[in-house]
Amino acid sequence: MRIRSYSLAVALQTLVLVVVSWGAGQVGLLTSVNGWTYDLLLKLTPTAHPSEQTLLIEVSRADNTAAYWQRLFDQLHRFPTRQWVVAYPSEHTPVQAQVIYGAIAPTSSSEVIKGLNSLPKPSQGVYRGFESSDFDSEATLLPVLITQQVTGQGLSTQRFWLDYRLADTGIPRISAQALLEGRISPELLKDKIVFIGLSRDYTQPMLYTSLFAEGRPLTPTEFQLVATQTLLNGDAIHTLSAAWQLGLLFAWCGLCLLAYRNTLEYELWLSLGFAFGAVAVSWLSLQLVALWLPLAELVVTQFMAFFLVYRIRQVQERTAIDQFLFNYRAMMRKHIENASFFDTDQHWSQLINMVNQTLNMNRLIFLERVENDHRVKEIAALNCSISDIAEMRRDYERTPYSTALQLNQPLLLEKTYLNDQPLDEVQMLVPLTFAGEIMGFWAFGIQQENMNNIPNFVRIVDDYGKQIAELLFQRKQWQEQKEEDSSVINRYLSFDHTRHRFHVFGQVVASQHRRLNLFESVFEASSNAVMLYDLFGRINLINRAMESLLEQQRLAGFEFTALDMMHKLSALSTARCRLLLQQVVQQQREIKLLVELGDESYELRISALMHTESTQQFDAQEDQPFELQGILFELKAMSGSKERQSNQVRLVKHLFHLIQNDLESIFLASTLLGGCESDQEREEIEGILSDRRQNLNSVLGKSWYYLQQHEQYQSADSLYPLDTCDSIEKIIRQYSCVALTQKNLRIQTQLIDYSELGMADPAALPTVIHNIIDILAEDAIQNSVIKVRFKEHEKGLIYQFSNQGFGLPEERLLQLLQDQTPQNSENFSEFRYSISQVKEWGGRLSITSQLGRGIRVMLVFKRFS
Amino acid sequence: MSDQSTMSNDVQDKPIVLVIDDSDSIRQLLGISLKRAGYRPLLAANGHVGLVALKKFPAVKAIILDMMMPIMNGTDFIHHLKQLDRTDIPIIVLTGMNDFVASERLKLPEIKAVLTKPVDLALLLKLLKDSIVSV
Repeated sequence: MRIRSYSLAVALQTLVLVVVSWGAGQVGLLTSVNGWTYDLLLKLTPTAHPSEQTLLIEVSRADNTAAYWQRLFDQLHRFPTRQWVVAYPSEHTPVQAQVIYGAIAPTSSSEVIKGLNSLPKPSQGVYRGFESSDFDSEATLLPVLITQQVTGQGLSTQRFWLDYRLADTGIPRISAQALLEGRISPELLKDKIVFIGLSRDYTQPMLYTSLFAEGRPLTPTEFQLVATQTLLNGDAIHTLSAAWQLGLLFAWCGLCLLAYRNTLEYELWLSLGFAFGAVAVSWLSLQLVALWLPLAELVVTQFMAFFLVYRIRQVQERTAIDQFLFNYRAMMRKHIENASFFDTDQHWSQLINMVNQTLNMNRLIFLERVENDHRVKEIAALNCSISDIAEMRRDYERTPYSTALQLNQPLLLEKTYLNDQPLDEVQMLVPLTFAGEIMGFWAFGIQQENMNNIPNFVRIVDDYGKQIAELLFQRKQWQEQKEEDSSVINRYLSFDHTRHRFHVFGQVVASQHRRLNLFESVFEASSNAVMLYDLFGRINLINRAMESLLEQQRLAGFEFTALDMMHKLSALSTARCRLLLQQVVQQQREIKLLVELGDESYELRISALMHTESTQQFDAQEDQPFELQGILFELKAMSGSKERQSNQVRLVKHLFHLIQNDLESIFLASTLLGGCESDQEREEIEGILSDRRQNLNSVLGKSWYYLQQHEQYQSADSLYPLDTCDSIEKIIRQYSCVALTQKNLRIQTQLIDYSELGMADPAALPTVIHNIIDILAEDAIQNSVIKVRFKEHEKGLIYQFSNQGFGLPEERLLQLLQDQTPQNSENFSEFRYSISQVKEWGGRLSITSQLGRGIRVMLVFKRFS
Repeated sequence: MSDQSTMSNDVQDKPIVLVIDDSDSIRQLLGISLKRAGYRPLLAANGHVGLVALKKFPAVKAIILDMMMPIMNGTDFIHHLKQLDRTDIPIIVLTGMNDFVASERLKLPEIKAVLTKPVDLALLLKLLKDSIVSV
């Protein structure tokens, strides 16, 4: 339906467009443009055949006497001319039967042939041709009459434009005096149509034409001569009739529209092409069939079609943008501004959901003011209904409602309000008013104990009441606005509201931008799995990490409220979760819980996302009734801590071994001291005993230091005693690089179960090992083995990495290590850094190579003890 | 080798016992107690040194071996011992790690006994005596 009406609109506009351009031509608005283009194109056409059938005999004004004319006529009788024409006879011109005369109003009754010698109406002073509207007289035009007489054929046309190219080649002319003096050869006048007229002088009107014959205007006689010769040559230039013009313009307009509709780009170039096409067709038409097309109308129509299509497309695009904006705004509100709350009839149950997630109430009921009445009605309730309300009036102008309104804060109900009140149930009535408008009431019953468990319960309820009232007020406003929007949707999409639409667009985009910035910064700041619940405890945003984590655990995150999710993840009781959630929401406390998901341990952090001052600046125009923006759930993987924990365990084990050795020595020494056979032996044993005591103290001191360092060594430059064999084994096992895969390389390690601990930075060690493997893999030959050997030495723990590779010349290796090559290998750049890093650990990293054998890297760790 | 393993200058016909332990003090103290018990202790700081000492003094009657040592641990030492075809020498293992006691690695015929630290000297000497007698 819309498409049909749209097509109709386009067709109508096309009709208007064609009629307008055609009409403009008809009323002469385009005459000058058309004339100018006609003149221009005429100049560009090749010169026509010269005038051969006509000749002009010029009579000087001084000789314009009856006797002179008679002498002239007598003389002319001696020449074999075809026809004499006196287009503008003077009072002295003799009247003879064989002469065709021009007359202003020729009569058919006369024996003398007379043709209408009127000139056409000039256009902007230029005489181009005869138009049907030029004359009222039904008399035949003089050139037409002459042609009819000479050719003996009937010529019906009274409307034609002149081919001035004839005039441009020059009009054959002789003077009457020369003729009379016998200086003219009879051959010159043979079979010629001789025009006799006054020669040029100041008394003659001069006619400006498309082309100036011999570079000057024409006299009226010359004009009639050129017109006659045009007809005789069959070069009369015709123009289209009004009906044909209209038809042509419709066809042209259709062609243009078709082309524009199917062209999404380069419309301007297409338009220029069309314009030049029209000019070319006109020129060819003029040249080949002597038909002058309404070029100005064609070009005007085409450009109007272009602007029409352009405009339609613009309107369509704007309509699409408007539609997008409309939908987008709805989506934005849904996701960001809790639009689903505004938009749904279930808003009260959402409120109940929220309240129930944070305040552990037995039962509650929301009452809404009846429109245009002072009564209230039930909207939504939890574990009760309006029939449970003891007072039956439901009139908010009476108690207890009026009291609550007067107090404008939660009213502790002394009398039973909700029937069947248990002994330990406290009942309260909260007025929901905003901006002086009564939105409704919130009544609830809560166990005294539960109430006591929530610090500042009344203040929290009051705060909730106010925020809920504001939310409801804004919902009402939003719905009113929505109704208005939907009723004026067509107007909204029309051209008239461009400013408004773009204002809305700007607002929405800016709002979205700010929101995205806000949320992205929250999400991006954390590499952990994060999800954001709205203030009703439903998921608003969830990042990819969290999504995949929940998928792995087969938890349908979107189906759970914040409370459910907390319960599922933490395995704490719902009551406990509710209490913790209360702390998050009301006290803005961050809760941290240890969570086990599969084999991994996570730290679940729950915090409140608050509407801070800085965001208020952004969102001044937006609905922000609640201070709380949402509840942020963040799961932080504890694998890093596990690694640290594992290192700590190894350290403790090692320390245990050291301490155990010392204790064992002390124990053995003490045992042996009793049975010493000599002083020397006693001294020796005592020496050992003393040495071990000191060593034990030292080991304990070291142990204490490093165990204290545990939490701090996360920073990149921290050293820690590591079981290097185990760490390197793990790093190698987990590593894979392109070169390893492409060359099908195998890493063979020969490490040992137990070794002394070595000093290294656990965070940087993988990078160093990866770098070494990369260098060896890059140099290695296909299908070879990279070997890792360990050797414990008093000076340190030595790892030797070697490959079967091509190797590097010593000089080249030195260049690479000293960064002297213009295009140094990235691996060696890293290696230089690794060298300095290992040096900082108290160790040593070196590389040697033998051409044809491969590369050998030695990594030495400083021993812990 | 000479700096890490020492031969007592006592009477040459006393049975030689090789003590392999990475702890200097334990090694020395075990040496003193073995001397007192009438053995000739041969001390080595790790499995590698122990193997060298064994090659130099093939008349070793028993070996007291610590399992957790750098450079060459107890398990590797036993492996090399097999290669030298010296499985005739009884081994008494000393280990600080309780989990080693139950380890599969210690369920070898060459290992006559496994003692956890702190070592009961009397028990060690009794086991040593029994092992040497039974060979």
